[in-house]
Amino acid sequence: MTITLKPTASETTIQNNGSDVFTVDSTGIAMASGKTIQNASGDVLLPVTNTPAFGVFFTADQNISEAVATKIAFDTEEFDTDNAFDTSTNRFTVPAGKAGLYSISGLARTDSEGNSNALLAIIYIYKNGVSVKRLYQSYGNNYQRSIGMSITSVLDLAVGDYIELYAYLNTIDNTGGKVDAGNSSGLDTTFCGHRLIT
Amino acid sequence: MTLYQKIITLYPELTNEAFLPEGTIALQNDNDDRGDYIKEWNHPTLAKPTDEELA
Repeated sequence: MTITLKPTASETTIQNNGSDVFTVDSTGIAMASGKTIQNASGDVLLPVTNTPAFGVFFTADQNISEAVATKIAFDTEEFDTDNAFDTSTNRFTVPAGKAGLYSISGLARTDSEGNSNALLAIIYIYKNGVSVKRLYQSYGNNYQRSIGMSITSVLDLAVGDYIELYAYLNTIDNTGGKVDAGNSSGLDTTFCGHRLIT
Repeated sequence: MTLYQKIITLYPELTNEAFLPEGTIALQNDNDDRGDYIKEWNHPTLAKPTDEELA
């Protein structure tokens, strides 16, 4: 390996085997295209991006039984930068080298399939199979048909941790209902997240 | 008949509150072959139903 310093009047470029690595000038350091700064574990420290990032939805309404916390079966990806969302298991798993703080958001609309039938609904974020955040929408005696919910949380995730979205519906007639796909286009029920730059 | 309905039929004295998040019974579905199942049963007096009772 040959390291070369190529100074000019205004800047100095550092090369490795004749290829630019970075340039230093009065404003700072500019990395050459495709070059990174990494720690001893190989994690990229600079430049940083808020990835992995994923956004998914599902294309057909999903039935949920009465009073059963049910994992939402997202089957379509809008984006998945690190191929970390698995539509067969409906979960996002933190890839190697990508631990950190993540913003996780979910949106779900439940439909009790009967007017004045829904008593309450809940949307959950599950981490490694356990509920860690939830939004509990209770309407007392003002029963609804459809209940829309959104939830956002910042979670500290390690490599291999997995995240899922669950929904729960409680109805007057005890028959459950469905999670609405929103005209099969991800309008009403979605799941997304990304790593935060820290 | 759903799992909830089977449990209510077996134990008519159970109220809706038992199945709420801070209740004594938690039902779950992980969107897999298992379907609806009893995740937690912490009722102080009623025994967890057997598979035969829920069949």
